[in-house]
Amino acid sequence: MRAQLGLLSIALPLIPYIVVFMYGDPAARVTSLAFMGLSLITGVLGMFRGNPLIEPLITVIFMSLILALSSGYLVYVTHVYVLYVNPMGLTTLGYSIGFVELAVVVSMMLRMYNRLYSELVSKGYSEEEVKGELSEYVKHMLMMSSVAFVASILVYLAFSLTTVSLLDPITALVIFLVIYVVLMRYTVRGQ
Amino acid sequence: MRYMVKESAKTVILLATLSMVTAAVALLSTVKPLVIGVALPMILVSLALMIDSGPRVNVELAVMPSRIYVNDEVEVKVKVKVMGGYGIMTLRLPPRPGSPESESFELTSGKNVHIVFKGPRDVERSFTYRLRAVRRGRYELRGVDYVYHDLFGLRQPIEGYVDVSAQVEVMPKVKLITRATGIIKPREVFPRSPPSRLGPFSTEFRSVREYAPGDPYRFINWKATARSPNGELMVNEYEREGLRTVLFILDTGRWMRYGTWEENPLEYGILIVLSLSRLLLRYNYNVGLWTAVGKVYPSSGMGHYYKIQRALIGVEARPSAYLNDPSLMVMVNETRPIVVMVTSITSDNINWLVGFLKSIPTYGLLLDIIPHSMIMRRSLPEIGCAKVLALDRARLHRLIPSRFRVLPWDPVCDGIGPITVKVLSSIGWSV
Repeated sequence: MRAQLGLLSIALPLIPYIVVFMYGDPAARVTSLAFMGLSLITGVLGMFRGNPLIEPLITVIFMSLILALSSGYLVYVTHVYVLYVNPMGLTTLGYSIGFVELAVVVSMMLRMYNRLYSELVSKGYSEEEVKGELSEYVKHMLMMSSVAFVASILVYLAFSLTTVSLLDPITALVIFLVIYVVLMRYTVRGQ
Repeated sequence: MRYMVKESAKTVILLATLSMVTAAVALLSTVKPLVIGVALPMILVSLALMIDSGPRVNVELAVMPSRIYVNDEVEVKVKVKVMGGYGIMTLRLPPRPGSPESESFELTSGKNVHIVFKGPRDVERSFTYRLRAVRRGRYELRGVDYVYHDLFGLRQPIEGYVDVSAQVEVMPKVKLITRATGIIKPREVFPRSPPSRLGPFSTEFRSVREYAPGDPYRFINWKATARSPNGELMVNEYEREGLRTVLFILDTGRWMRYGTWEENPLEYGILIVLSLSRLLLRYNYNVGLWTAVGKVYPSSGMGHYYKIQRALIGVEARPSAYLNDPSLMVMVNETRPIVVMVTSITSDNINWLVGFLKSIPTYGLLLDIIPHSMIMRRSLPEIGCAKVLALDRARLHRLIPSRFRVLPWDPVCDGIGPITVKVLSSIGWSV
């Protein structure tokens, strides 16, 4: 299970780079390749060091830069785009954020798997049993994450299809923050 | 396992932060599919909160066999059923660390720590492992501890304990001296057939005498009591079965605990008492046992051996286990047994020992178990027998009343066989 997790944690963050490479202009392609190289190196190194989390985080930074600098308010206000990705590419890039977040979950799981495995085996637990049960645990976590991913796509589709009264960005942000804070408080109290 | 909680919580916090960042980027870039990146962490957290509930754990514990000898093994079977909850659980099966059982048993096969993943369905697991008893005693393998972590680690780990228990009786292993008959025998000139003073009563009437503590009530002679001039209680006395009486007095003072948990003067003392008792009972002697915590009145027959064995299973060394039992003196006065005192002489107990032996009005034997070699063997296993360390004991031995013959015994240097021959020759057997 460790190998599969490792493979997923390295492969999933590469999806946005491929999208940008396919739909971007030459500058975006070069930037994409540079970031992809950096991501791969940190991902492989992270695998060896047992912590491949940096790779998806680099991807998130890359995606944020590409999306913010190639479309939206900044481009609209300044009338300048630094990197160009065509609208189809931007939409696909938007979808790929789900894969990057899944990569974050997988990376954290791999890190936990490695540490937990060594801790339990050193305490006298059966190696086979620990492997088996942790694999089950990881499978269930992956299943739940996949369910959440599908559900979030459905939420997006529901948003896209449903017409609602117009909300200005600030109100939307406020509503989001309120929901976020309520959920976080509940989570922190649970800890 | 605490790490797991931190790690899962970090995942949640990280995902929540990611959703914030994604929301900000979505606002700036106006790319609608980024809603997926905002919703996904929220849905994950909501799922985690929805499925979270504590587990219920049922445990069945069985130990086979329940009675063994030292160095024998028991098979422990544990059946665990987990209902409710969704996450990972570590189980620690008996013996619990720090309990007497954990020091008296060692794991020979299998594991007594396990990890179980509890999915949406109930989980039932059976675990089997074997324990070897390293010390005699009555034990209770008790309790299963568990720690439950929910799938996302959002809650504090739930630590629980299921109270189940199974008894195990570990009997001291006795050295069977079966060939002693060919080597050493009771000497003919030794009074083998004087009337026994203790042992099962026969129906042969002997005399009427005054009541003494310990006399069975059914022997009270009411007519003789009524006739007695001073109103003393009178009892009938009957001849007893059996031959001569040997009384073992086992010291249980703290000095008997020098050495390791499994190897110390007390353990060797129990071993020699059992070995000698078995042999003497085979020759129809009456054998009795006195300790600070219990006593077995002298009697004969092999059934009596198991009484002595049972009494010795639970004997432990105590800080102040001085023998001060008036009934011992009554019994010694009445029966004049051969007293075999089993102890380990130190400067701590010599004064008490001298006083105690002086108070016993009979001849006997003092078996002084020397712990030096067994202590030294722990740190310097290559040395083995270290008799030279016991030379200073001669000074202490000279203080013992001359009615008691002192027999020093270093169990590392001499086995049970040689010391048995020495003890038997000291109490009148001959080669």
